[in-house]
Amino acid sequence: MSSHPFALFLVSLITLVVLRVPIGLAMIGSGVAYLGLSGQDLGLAAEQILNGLYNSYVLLAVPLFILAANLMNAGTISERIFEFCGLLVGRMRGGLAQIDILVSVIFSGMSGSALADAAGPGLITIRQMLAKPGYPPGFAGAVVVASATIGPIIPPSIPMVIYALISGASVGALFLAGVIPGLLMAVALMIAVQIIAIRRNLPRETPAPRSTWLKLARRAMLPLSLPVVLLGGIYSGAFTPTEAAAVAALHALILAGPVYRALDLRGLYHVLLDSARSSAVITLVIAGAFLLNYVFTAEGIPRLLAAWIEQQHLGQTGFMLLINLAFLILGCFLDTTVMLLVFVPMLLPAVNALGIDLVYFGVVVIVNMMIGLVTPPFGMLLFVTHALTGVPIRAMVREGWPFLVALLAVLLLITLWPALTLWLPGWSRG
Amino acid sequence: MSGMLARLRALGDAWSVVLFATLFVVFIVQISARFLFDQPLPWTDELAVVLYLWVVLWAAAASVREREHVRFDLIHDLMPESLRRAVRILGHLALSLLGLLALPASWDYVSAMRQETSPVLGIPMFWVDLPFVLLLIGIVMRSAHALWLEALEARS
Repeated sequence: MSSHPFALFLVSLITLVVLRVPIGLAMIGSGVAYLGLSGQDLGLAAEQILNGLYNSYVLLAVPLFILAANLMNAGTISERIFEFCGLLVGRMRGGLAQIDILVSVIFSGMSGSALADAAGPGLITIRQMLAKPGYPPGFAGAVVVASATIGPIIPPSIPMVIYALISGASVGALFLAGVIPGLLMAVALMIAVQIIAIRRNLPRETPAPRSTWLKLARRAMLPLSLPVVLLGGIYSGAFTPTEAAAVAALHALILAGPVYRALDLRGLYHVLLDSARSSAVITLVIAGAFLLNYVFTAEGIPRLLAAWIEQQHLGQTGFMLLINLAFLILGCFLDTTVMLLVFVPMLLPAVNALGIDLVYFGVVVIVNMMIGLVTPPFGMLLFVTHALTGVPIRAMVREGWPFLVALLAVLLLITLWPALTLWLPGWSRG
Repeated sequence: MSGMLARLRALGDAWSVVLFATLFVVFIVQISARFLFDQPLPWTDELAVVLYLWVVLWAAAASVREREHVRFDLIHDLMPESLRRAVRILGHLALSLLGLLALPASWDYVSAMRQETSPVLGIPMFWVDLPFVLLLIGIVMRSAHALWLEALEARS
């Protein structure tokens, strides 16, 4: 073990990150510096990254899920689901907030990204809330931000695909394991909204006339069929997750284009370009992580960490609680993709040594990271929602704590009770 | 931004779109072959992976806008404006130097791949791996361009 180049590697990584170099490129850059300092061939950087990407077939699901979500947002699919959910929960107090949560649950069943949820259906409900007296902007923003965290927990899910890649756990099992935690998050958030709505006397929505119910339900029927097809396909083993992603994108393209006529060729061009860019941004971080993990493994860091954790005699529950606490704190400051790709691989040997189920660990960690998307000062969902609506981040944070408590309660529940994640995948395996 | 630069960028974007659209079509072909015609194709998986490499590395080099990157902004945002500029300039300098450093060895690696071909389609791996070199060139060019812009701003 050569500690000298490794120390310089860490210093250069931190320096580049502080110098505002994009994080993926900072990892690649410091990896190149490490190879140079330890006298290795600099071409190893190209080899590690290219082989890593070339051999990660499951990663192909990422651009396709991004494309699917962008097509749904461009193709009035979110509006239709919004109207349909209005029929179901609009008459509750704080109806728009309840609608938002339900829309998030349904949209989660079609898209795998929290940011797409906030930018699509979230934007629609927040505009409705801001146009109505009775919903303070901070509250409206906080509801949208909190409910968007459900997106990658209910399958499909981009973070779960990435986790499957680094851990070797089955994507299908991870997807199924997310269903119950995702629904629990929705219930917890709906309870929080209900309590606030009664205390503040938030308005109800005027019910749609009975004669339009059938029409509204029919308008939503085609989009609503997608989660059923996706879950059914993955659950029965008919599609691989990557194929499910392509089916979702095709379904959304057909609805947005020929069926609803909401997307012309120019619109399609921009959707494809946006999807290519978002995929590239995520993949740069993944590429950097391949090189970073090569360096960490060459230096034996995960093994050292596993040995150290074993010496602490934490037990499974103690370990999980400690990891949750550490990730919640890191999540306030770091991007979730970076956390997933840098810290999780370091912990996996310890997870295996302690005999913790990889699917359970993955779902807990991803729920934890979604909470990291809403905790200031660094919370991507806060940034996106602020950029799209102009609601001040401070106002969202001030109104957001009841939802944070609700999400933390679910996190604690699924951490202490692994059956909540493992029952569904175990049951489907028979 | 000058007219030529805008046109170059539009061209780069168009190539990203072509690559992504082809990737999507290859997937649709694969799924239809399997589900509609019950005849899985051997080449679609491989072509999809090759296109994936091209899409993400090319788009990262040519289409991703500066503000879209994942960065750690917290410390930068706490600094006074004069220091922020110094941080940005140092960052661009460091990145372009590291890019230049990695380029020759990466080119050697990729050129050595001329001898190897992909298992099903027989595509020389040189063409599969080439976008990594393009990404490095893109990084160096974009850092140089950003430095140029900072220099212009400092003068005015």
